[in-house]
Amino acid sequence: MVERIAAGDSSALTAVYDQLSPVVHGIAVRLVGADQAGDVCQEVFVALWDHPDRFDPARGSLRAFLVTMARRRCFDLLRRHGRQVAREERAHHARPVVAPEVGESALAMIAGQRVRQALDGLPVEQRRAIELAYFGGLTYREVATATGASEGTAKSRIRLGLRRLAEVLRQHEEVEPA
Amino acid sequence: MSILGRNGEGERIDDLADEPGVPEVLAALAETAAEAPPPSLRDRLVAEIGSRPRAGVEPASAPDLFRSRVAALRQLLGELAGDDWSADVAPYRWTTHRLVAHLALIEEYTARQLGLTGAAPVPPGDPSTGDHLALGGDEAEVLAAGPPEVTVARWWAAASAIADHVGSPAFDPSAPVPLHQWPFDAATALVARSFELWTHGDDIRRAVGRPLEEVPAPELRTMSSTSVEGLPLLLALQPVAETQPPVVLTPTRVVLTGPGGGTFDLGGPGPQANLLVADVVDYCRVVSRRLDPEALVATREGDPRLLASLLVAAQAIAM
Repeated sequence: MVERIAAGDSSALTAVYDQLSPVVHGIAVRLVGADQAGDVCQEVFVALWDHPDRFDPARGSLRAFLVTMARRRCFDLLRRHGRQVAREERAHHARPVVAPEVGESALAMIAGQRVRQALDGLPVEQRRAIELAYFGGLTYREVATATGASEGTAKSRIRLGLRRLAEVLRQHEEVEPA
Repeated sequence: MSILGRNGEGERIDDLADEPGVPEVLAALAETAAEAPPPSLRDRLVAEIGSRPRAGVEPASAPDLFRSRVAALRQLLGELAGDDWSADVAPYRWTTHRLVAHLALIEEYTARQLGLTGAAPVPPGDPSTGDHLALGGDEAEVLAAGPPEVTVARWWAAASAIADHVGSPAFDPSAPVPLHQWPFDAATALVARSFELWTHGDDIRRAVGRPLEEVPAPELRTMSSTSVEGLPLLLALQPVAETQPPVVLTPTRVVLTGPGGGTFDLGGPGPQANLLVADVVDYCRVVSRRLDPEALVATREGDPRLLASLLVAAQAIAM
């Protein structure tokens, strides 16, 4: 699809949009709020249209690329606008939700379900640290403050938790190769 | 990574994205928060990208393309030695030397059609020029029996004369320059010649065990776009068996991927009911009859008979 986008095929971009915009938009809603999430979502897909060559499939999936880009733009936006969405508010919403089944590929849904289950299976401190860091967009330092731990401990919990989640995803891929 | 992370505000979970497996975990986490955007956002996006000119590869001009193809073939011929000249060149039953003799005579014919030799252009439909491969066959055999350097010099004399002419102010790209049965304008004739020079260069490379040439993207863009844009006419000229209904060109999108490719909408406005997606170099090899249309690795959606007919039509002007 990205090759088609690079060739100027707008229908390929809309096909990618139809499949991946819920995940891009959803993470933007979490980080900057619904009012600005649409702008972030549009910026991400326009950037893909303008610079498809920046996506390197050897470094991960298109989904991961777009999510990473969306998060960076959200943080840029928060910085530019003085963090209009308060940290406390984002921390409050820092919980995964049951995703609506709109426009997502089955494999992505399954990966989401697995990671959600795996997240629930993590030690509660690791899970909370990841939720705050990922869905709340907090820095390690802010996670540490929110959980009453040291920054090093917060970072360590996040790393260990992510490692465990990566392992779970990898195990499932090996059992059920795509 | 500094303690402040990438954004200068302190490290984040995103700063771990370079670690193996982490980007996919982060993307999977995002799945758990998926939330469809409002439908109006899709319309906004479509309007936005429609208003942004595509920053693609600028096509080479037909004269630049031709001069580049001539230079590439000249360099290749200059590197051949000894047995290379007697190597069998597929798909013809010709040696390298006989193929270059063919090119010398075709280039002389092209020079005549461009008005460079003093002789009048051969009228369209003249049976003496109808068969590209047979044109000047006897003389080519005589050339191929002599020393290769004489043949190369003869090809170069004609090719360089054309290259000089098409770079001069006297060159009119819209002037009629029929080649064989095709009523080309001069620019299209140069593109057709360039296709042949590239194709035969690669034929020789295959025969002597050299890697195929990577044609610069601007040149691929010129050749592929000229070919695709000519497909409606070529399709209309395709013979259809009496027992078959005519093939009607309905809105079709052709997407050629890779550097020098592009997106082309054929068959008028309206939603594209048919889609063909293929690598631009592979498509060009179909055009030059070095790849069977059925063997082309492509995404085909819509009317299979129409898409197959378009690819067959694309080969019509192969020389």
